[in-house]
Amino acid sequence: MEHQVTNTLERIPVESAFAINSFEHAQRVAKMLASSDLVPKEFKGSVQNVMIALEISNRIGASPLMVMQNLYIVHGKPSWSSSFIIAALNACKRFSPLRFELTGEGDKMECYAWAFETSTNAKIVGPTVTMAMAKAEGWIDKNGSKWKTMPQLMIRYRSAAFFGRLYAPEILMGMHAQDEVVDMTAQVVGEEIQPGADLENGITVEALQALYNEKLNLLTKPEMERAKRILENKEVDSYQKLFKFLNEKQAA
Amino acid sequence: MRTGNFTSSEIVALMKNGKKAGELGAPAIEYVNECNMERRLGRPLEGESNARATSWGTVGEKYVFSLLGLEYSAVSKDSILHPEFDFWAGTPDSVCYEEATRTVGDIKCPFTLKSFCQLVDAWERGGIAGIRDYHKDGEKFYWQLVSNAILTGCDHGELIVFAPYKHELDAIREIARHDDTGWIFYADNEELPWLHEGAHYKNLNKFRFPIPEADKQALRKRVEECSKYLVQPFLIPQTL
Repeated sequence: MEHQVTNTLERIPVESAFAINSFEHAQRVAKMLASSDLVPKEFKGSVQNVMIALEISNRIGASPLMVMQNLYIVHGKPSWSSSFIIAALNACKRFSPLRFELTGEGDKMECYAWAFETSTNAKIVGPTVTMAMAKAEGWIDKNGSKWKTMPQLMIRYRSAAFFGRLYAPEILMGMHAQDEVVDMTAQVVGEEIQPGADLENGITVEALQALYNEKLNLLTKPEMERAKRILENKEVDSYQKLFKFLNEKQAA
Repeated sequence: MRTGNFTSSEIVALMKNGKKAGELGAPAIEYVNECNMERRLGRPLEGESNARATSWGTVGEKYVFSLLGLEYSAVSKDSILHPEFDFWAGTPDSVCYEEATRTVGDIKCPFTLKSFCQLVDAWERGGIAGIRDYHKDGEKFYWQLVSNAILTGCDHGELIVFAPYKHELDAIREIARHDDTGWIFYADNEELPWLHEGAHYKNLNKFRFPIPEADKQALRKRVEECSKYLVQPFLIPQTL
């Protein structure tokens, strides 16, 4: 067991915030940044989140504040702002500044990002993003979707994200653009809660009520009363437990 | 809501008698004086404690609640006031609804194994009487539950005493990760209290007992009596 731990630590680069010789210092820096009023709310008061931002900034060579300003936590997943992706690709010096080829209008609009690779001078073209794709993937129909109001900007942002993920995944570190994550998933963006996504852990009152109705005939009288009490009194702390209990309730 | 009011966690002080029968004891007088200081200050005498034991208790409490059945309800994250007396507050951890019985609970997650063992041992020696007689904070725990039983209309009290098994530490760390208790997340196993599974002590111990109506009446009478000595609270201007 001890041997495994040593090996794991050895694999972490020395300059990493998580390296054994710099962890304590990084933790102190993280504590200071977490208490600053200038950091975004996802990082304020959260030493853990700041430590992750420090690690990322260390790996991509950007300032911690820049990383924090452009790193969004959506559904608990870190994701980059699209403008940061473009800036990071432009600054990495492996490519010329990113360019976009936009054709068509309305439903026929398409776009791809391109750049010259500096080592070979070859033109590199990213995948084409089309409005038909946006519609088929359901990005347009999301509540509050920016694809309805600013499609020309969104299509460029998405093209840049696709380009980056294909040609420079090490810069994105496997993360998606923030607007991509919003498009691909539902309900929560940061602290903003959309209608229907009532409470904890993505469990909605509606979903819980539906599950309760579905399992009603499998419940004993005390179980029914408890579930009813939790739902009627909106006992948020018990939602997770009730959800698990109802899910596991099977016909005898 | 707690500032300047009698709270369940400190209410034991009011039950201390003086040398003559029915006379208030020195701890009762001191507690009333402290409440009055808070009333004049408009703020608590002591700020929130960041001590490790306190944050361990808070995180542990959340974990314990996940282990309890659906009959347990987390009452409220905020304090509740007595329906008649606005100077009497408490923060019960749970209420358990079982047919005709309503039980108010207090979750204790001692940070040291010694404290955990002392509490369990005291119960094993004599139930709630054992805790009151043999544990240094036994009286405090008892009257806290009596007070919270009055505030929530319960007829039973329950001390829920918890220390994790080793394999539960990761789940507790996960809870700590989302709270402002990073030290638990980073702590080694040996820095935290844990039990060997299958040994004498169990992780979750529920000590339930009926609360005599006479004790509820005695507490109510004493609180009413002491309230006569409370001064009017300082009203904090909205602009401050």
